[in-house]
Amino acid sequence: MKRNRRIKRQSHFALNTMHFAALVVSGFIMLMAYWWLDTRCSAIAQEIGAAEKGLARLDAELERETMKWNEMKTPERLEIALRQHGLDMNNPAPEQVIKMLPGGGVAPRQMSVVRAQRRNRSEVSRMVQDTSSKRTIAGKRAGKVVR
Amino acid sequence: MSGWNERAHFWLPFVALGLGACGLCVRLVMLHLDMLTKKPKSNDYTYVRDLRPLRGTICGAAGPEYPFACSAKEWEYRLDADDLLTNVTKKVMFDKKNKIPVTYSLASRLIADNLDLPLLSVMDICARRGSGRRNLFLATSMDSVVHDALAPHASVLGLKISEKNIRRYPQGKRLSHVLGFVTHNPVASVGSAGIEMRYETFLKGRPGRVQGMRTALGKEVRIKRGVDVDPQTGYTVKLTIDHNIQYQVEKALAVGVASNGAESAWCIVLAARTGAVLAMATLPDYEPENYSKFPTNDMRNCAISVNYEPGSVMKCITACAALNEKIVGPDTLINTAHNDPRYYRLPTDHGHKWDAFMTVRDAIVHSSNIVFGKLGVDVGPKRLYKYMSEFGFGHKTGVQLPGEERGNLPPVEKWDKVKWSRAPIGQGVAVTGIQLAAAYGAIANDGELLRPYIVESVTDVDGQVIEHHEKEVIGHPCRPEVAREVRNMMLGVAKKGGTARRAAVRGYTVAGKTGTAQIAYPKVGYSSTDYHASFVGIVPASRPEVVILVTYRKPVFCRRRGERYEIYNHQGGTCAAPTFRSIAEYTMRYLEVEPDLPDEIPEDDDA
Repeated sequence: MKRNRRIKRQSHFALNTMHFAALVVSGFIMLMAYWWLDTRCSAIAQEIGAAEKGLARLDAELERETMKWNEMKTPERLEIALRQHGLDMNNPAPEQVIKMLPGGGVAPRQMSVVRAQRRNRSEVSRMVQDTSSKRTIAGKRAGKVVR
Repeated sequence: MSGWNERAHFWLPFVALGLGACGLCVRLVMLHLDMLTKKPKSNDYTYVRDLRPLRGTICGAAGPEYPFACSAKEWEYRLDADDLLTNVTKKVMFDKKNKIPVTYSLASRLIADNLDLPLLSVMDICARRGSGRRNLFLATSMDSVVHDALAPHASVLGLKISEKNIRRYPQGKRLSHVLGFVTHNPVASVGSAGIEMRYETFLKGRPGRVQGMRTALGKEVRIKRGVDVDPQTGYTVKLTIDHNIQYQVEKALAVGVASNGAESAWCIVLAARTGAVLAMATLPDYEPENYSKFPTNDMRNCAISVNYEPGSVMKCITACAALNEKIVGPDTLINTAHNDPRYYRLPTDHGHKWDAFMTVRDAIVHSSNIVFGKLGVDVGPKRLYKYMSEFGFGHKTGVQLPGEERGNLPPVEKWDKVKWSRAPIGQGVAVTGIQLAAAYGAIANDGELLRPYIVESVTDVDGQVIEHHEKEVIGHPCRPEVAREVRNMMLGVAKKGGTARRAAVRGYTVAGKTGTAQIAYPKVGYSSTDYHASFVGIVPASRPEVVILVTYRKPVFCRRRGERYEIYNHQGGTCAAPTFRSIAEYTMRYLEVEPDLPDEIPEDDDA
């Protein structure tokens, strides 16, 4: 009996000690894990800070380039560029404009057509003749201006 | 007992390890909670940084892709000559790999080449001694290539590079009087004129703030950041101005001022159907980025802030009043005798010899002072005052610009008998350009007076509309048929026999009126050499699209030709009408307005 009590006491003592040790070790592991996570958070925060600076730098760069581009698109700059490349253009005079009808053909009674005919522009004469032969109801109103 | 000893010997190391682990954990917890470090005195390691926001964009009708004013960041380069001296003395390595020490010549050349500055002046700055050598301004630059070249060597060269927000006007002097300018101070940039001032609340944005901690070396501890508010960029203000029309208007005005030697000039292009201001220009102009280098007078927006006597352009308003009251019709004959006893001291027609009678239509075409003086008296001062007031004279139009004047329409009780016949011809009353343009807009819009507006909308950074403006009818000064009739009468002004043949636009009908008004000086009276020459026109007259007002102040009155002086083109028809034509021709094609005179080509005037 005494022997049995002794064995039971010994095993009970061993179990309590094991529990305590396991508790301590697991607590230690959890604290280590927490510490590791905290360190990782700090490192990631530093990376975020660096990325923020990079983003701010790129945003500022974008604004600068957009401003430079805006300055290049002004009407004066475009005029200068056109002149430099020999692309100066003028608006046509009214007598150079021939209005066309939606259904095809030339709108009637235009001074530009009369003048062109006087200069024997065969193409214009043919277009006028084609129009007079196949005029439609829609041809009453002047159509799109062709330059 | 020996069993106990054995167990103790077995478990003792584990207990010791456990205790050690506990101690380590306790110390880790204390470190994490900052219980071991001394509390810094007065927050030595905390910092607060206010982030200045970018100012909002001001753009035209074409949208933010063509801004008139925008913000960006640029780098400012300053030199600490003391730092450079120290580095040169200590032979600090500029290039560690090749063992090249920094010298004055090396530093000067590098700075001068990158910042595009004269080498000698940079060398002088680098070698400066005495007071004021710690923070010497070098240049500003937006070029990232320059920054990348200088930033890595900044500490060695003694350079201080700081980034700051700037306000830029990509189109230069364009629209300077409408945009205004911004004054910079250490705290914020503040709009001080024009739209920049009027919409300061929307454009300034909202500053951000960063609050956190930094290490002893000054590096931020990102995870300790407490307050982190991003700066909010200002709102976008969209104007009704078309940048292409504005450019052409300014170009035409510059040509006009160069040819007639005017002291100043202004022009307004108004969309007839909506009241939107498509262009508004004043000469002389200034650069908003360098406003301090220009005289204050050049910054005045004459189109809204100059009160001047309009002269004969007021006659169409008088005609509207007379027709609306059914006193006369377009073809009613009026006696052109100057010494008509029924009228008190009528104005003269400056030597013109008319027929005994003239229709109201012809009176507009030839701009007869006598006929309109009589018409004004027949309408009566009270009714004429009422019509002038209903056409918007004597009140601010409410256009969204600061500094607008209200003109001067004296109360009818203060009109003497002379004014009864002078006010109808635009003498003794003062108007602003925007009032005139709006009044003619009412004639163009069949009698509906619209409020002119220059700001179309204000949107926030997310595109949400905060403020929006559109067509607003503020009055009906005359009946629609009267407005159409007056417009019809005005057609003759730009034809042969009219006072403004040079205003004729190929392919389009033009309804306009000239005005040549003497400038009145206090205690001197009306000048015989100083005039305001104006032309206001509606095009096309059959279906109005735009109203264009052009005014020149003090065009050259006479010029010397050999031994004698000759009268120069100081009148509205010779001065302002050609500018009107130039602007109208471009605007009609640009807006793709179909010609309403396809079969007629007006005769060119070679004068």
